[in-house]
Amino acid sequence: MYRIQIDHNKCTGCRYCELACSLNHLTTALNPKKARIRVLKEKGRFFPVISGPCTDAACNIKVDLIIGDKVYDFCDICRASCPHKDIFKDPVNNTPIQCDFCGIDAPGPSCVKWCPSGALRLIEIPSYY
Amino acid sequence: MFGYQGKFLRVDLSKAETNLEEADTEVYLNFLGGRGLGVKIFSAEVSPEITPLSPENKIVMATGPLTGTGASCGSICNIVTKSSLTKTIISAQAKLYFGAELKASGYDGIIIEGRAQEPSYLFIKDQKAQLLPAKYLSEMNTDQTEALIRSTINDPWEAREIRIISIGPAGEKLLPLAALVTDGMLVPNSVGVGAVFGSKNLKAIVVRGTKDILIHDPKLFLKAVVNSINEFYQSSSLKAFSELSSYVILEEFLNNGILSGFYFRKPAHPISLAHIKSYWQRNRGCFACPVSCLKTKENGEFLPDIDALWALGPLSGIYDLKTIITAYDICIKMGLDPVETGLTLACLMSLKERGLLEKEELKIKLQFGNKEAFLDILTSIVKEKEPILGKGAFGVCQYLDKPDLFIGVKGRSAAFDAQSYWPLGLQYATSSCGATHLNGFVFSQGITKVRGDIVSQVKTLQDKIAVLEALGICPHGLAGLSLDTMASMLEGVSGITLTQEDLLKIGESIYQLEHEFNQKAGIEEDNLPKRWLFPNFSNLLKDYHQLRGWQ
Repeated sequence: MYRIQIDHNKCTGCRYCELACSLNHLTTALNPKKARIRVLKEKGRFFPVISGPCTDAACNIKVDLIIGDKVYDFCDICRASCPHKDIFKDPVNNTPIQCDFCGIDAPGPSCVKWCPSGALRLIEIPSYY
Repeated sequence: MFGYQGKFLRVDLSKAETNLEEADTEVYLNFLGGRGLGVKIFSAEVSPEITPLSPENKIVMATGPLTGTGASCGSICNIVTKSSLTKTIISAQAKLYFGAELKASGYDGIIIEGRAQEPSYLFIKDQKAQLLPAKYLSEMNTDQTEALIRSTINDPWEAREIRIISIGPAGEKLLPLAALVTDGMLVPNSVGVGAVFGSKNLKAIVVRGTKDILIHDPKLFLKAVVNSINEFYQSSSLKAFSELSSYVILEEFLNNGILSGFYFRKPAHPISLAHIKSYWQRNRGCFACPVSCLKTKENGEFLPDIDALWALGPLSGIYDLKTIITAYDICIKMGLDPVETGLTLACLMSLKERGLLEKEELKIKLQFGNKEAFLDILTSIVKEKEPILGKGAFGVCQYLDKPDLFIGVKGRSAAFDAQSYWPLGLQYATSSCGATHLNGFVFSQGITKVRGDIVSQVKTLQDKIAVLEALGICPHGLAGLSLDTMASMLEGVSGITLTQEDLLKIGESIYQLEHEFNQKAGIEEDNLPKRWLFPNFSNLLKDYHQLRGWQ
């Protein structure tokens, strides 16, 4: 099972991931506001947040978060604490949009591929389901 | 048009009107965008003889075709106007997210003219623009202004994502030292532009955009961007710049005496890189930039670049980094340009040491190395208790009738000692907006080893930076990215095919336009301060003018 691991200590807030995501999904246009990954800023820190599943089931886990030395794995702290769930809506027609890992097989998620600071990493973890 | 929105917003502040204008495709092709387009529109619409603070002066903001597209380092929005400090044409480089957001709002740029009756700010959202009253924001610091504007927006997500360029009290008081601030970061090269905003009663510009930017050839573009990111990883100089920011040349500059102290009268004591780095908590990059050259504190406040640190520090005799950083924060909050402000105070200290500040109105408590007095004076600049402070170093020296004691060119103070470093000296002398390294110098290791023909190197670098800004790319990228990469990214985004030579030619024509404007405005000749006139200078300058085809 693949997951995107986010190290917000490394994130510089360049929003390359948003651009990469939008280019991959819109194919002929760029629009960070239509990305399935958005970078939140809190004080001096940036938190990339991925639009995970909308259900509250146990599978609601797509983010590994490193705070200090500790890794909060399988944790949806970001999205749970995010007061703006509605950020992941198409700004024009308001349809909810969701991360699909860009079709994980061939090129892998484009946000991970473009991330220049190494804050996003694709990791493989054992599947529990 | 791919890569462009093809629309400009014209704001007439006098009539409180906003109009949408279709862009002229031919001008786009000849000048690309950004600084090129800004300078072209500005010099065509504004008479060079006007005074900078009159309603006839205009502000042209323009993004380039690569701004906000994900092209590496593509975050620049240029703000072209006639600066109230240098009286020359100036093009500030707004970084962070403003340019990208402006483009996403459906405009390639904004032309601002006239003067508003009351303090106002401009609010732009997806091709809808309105002027809102800003009386409640007057005298507010830039951080308070941003917070208050954000608090007027209901949607919490939108409130976070609006991008603001604002002026502080310094701009409202029309001080020539005033600069612009965007999202807590100084807009580089914006000295004297803050006062132009203030003279128009324009407190801030707010943008928010959710529109698409269409790409001509996504496959080619993707390849070019991935190439440029790889180029970044392979370029040791760009990686070093990313890690150390402008301090990458600290040691070299110290060894060569380019970093001077006590207003260029004595060499500076060294400050170690490790000591400076101990204040850096986080790395930050602008929109779509693999280079994380912005250094911040834990709370996100930006830390000074080397020129600002030296102007507020050793050049004023201060070596305590805490004081320097506090001074920098004050400058950002007040909307003062830290380099010019620091050097103005340093100049006053040097004048005082020479016993030239004896008149009653000039009795200012300033002394090289006196930290408390320095911070006190800094906070009082905008309160205008000492009106002489707001004049800038050049203004003070002129007031005292001692223009020779001013270290700078065209009214703007120089931050580095160019006496022994000729390429920088030539850049200071010939720059179109006074003594600055920002439009003709790139921080990269080994830069002080001068080889070959200085004149053509300086000219090429000026042209390169001009065309990069026209594309919407940050000049710092030149430390590792080539013009060919830019050309392929441009082709992918807009379908415009240009060679490296074409790009350089565009850069040259931008520089030419700026020079012509300055000449018509009656700006003094290219020159260096007397103390810095190295033996070969007049020959170099002659060669330079010949190369550019100037008289």
